Amino acid sequence: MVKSKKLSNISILTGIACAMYVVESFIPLPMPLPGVRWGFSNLPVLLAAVLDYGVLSCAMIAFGKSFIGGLLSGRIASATFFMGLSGSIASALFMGWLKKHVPKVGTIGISELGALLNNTVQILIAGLILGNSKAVFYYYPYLVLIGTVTAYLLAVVSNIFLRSMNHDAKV
Amino acid sequence: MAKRTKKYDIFIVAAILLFAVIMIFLNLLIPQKGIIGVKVTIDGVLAVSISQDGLYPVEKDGKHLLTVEFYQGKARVKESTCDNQICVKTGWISNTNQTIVCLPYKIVVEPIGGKNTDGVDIITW
Ligand SMILES: [Zn+2]
Repeated sequence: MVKSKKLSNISILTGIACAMYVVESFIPLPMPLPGVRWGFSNLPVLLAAVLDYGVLSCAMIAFGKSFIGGLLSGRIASATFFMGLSGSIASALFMGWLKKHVPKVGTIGISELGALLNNTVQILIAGLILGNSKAVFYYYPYLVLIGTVTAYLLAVVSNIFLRSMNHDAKV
Repeated sequence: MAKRTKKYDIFIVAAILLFAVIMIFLNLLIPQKGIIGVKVTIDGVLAVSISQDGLYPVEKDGKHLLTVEFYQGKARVKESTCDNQICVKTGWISNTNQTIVCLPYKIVVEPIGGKNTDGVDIITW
């Protein structure tokens, strides 16, 4: 792909991710989990990963989303902000890496493993912030379950995008 | 056309679900003890230790943060000035496996070990 085309696609994906980040904070979770969100705004990161844009592009979208989304929602520098930032960058790097180096894993696998890492990192950061890791670990299994559902939905949507972009040759 | 759902994906989803379910079961297997009190920590530092029924305001540097209620072996955050109110929505906790977390204020309400549900008093300090 032409470099400038890729760059503009990354910008568009980052913009979409920011919008989704703000919108998703209004969608309540089925149970009160501290600092946790659905994670729908990871869709553009997943798309960049499965389009094989590379780990750096994925991480850039994740960073842009957390930073700009944090500014827009007024959450910047809060505990939730740091949880989201570390979680999404870790999962972006991992998903980009999986696509490049583990061809046996498809879109669903990339999305699910990315979500698992995202949630694990978020819980660890929350434990660090609170100075009490036992307190948040109680919530971890439920977080993983919610993450599995979200990740599955994101993978389905990503595959629809890929199909409409006629990206079959590369997948 | 390349297949996008690969068989490894199914293993991955199954493994993650199993992982979560096992953790939830392990949590349920731990004997559920009633609580005889709670301790409230801010930033990992003990703010107040509660063992008698009542309302306990928690503040830091003169600013009121939230109120913990302890009543007949149950605890909750009755009200909070935090932005997301998740600590309030968590509601009552009544056994030692549970905690209430207020992330904006870095507050944890943690049960103090209590008596077994079968009525035998085992007070652990
Ligand atoms: Zn709170």
